[in-house]
Amino acid sequence: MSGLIRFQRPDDPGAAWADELLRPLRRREADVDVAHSVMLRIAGPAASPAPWALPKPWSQVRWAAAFLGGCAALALLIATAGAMILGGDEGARAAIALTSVAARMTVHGFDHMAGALWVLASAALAFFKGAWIEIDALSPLVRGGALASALAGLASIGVSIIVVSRARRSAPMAQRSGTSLDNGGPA
Amino acid sequence: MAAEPNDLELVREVLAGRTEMFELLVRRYQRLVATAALRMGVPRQEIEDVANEVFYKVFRSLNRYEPSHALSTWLYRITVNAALDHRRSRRHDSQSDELPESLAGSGPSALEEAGERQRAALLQEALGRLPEHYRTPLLLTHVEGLSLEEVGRVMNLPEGTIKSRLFRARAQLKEIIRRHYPGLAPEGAFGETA
Repeated sequence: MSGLIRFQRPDDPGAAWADELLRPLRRREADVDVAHSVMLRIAGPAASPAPWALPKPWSQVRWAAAFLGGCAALALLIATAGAMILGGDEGARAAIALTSVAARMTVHGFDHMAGALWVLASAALAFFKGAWIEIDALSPLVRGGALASALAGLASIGVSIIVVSRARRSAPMAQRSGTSLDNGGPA
Repeated sequence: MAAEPNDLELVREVLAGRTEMFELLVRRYQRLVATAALRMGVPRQEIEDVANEVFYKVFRSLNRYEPSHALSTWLYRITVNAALDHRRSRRHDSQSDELPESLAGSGPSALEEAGERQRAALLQEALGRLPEHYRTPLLLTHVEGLSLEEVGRVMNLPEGTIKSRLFRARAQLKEIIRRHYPGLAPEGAFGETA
């Protein structure tokens, strides 16, 4: 039993703990002889022998009978409704009026909903179009800016080269012995 | 002499109309059912009724038995449900059945046995404080010795759920024992790291 539980949470005392704790319960055993009473109960009139399912042909007959019954009920309903409508029944007329109002309301509701969706879609489309035009118009400016930045970078490199070469020319000359300098630098 | 028919053969025989074969199944499993019911907290004097009910239910729903699983697992399932139903309907005092009436004049072995019974009764009481959905997997795993897979099948739950319920059940039981039944705790249970 202990081998069953491999993982242990911090607050879980573990399987071995539970095994040890519940040992007295494991030692408890009970033996009864209920075979006779169970068999009597099974054989009794109150027991319905559920283990045997209804034979297949009977199931099909039951299904067909239920289906035919349903069809008959539907036909009766339609015939009654037709007779009431044709006979000018007040209740039937009210029901028809109510149904037609409900249908109209449903149609109008869908109509309004479709209209609202169309307006929303048009607004979204116009917004995206505007944004696209904006981006399109700004693109030469962005390109110009990028070109100017590149030229400025090149100019900066040129200036640096000039400055460095001049500085080298004016720098003090050093000899290997390090004693005398032609341009008056420190000895 | 012909070999004893196995469970599946017996089930098929009963379903085919030989109801008398059901008696063999009852005789084969009545001890398992009675013991499981006792360990699930059904008082000894009511075990016969519960076992009777379990086998009657088994007979009534035998056509729903899935042969891919052991019959004993299915029996455990029905027994667990019957024990829970019994517990809900009776709300009995589990101590009345199992506590020894008198220890006067008992020999050492009788005393030990009485102590064991008292301990078992107190354990049942402690387990009674656990919610049903924690108590059942705990008993099936640590008392009945079922594997996680079998417990999952008995309770119709995935193994992961059983595992996490076991963790929680043990943690809660430890707390219950620490608070209300410190004498039941195994040696050094509260001194060691959890």
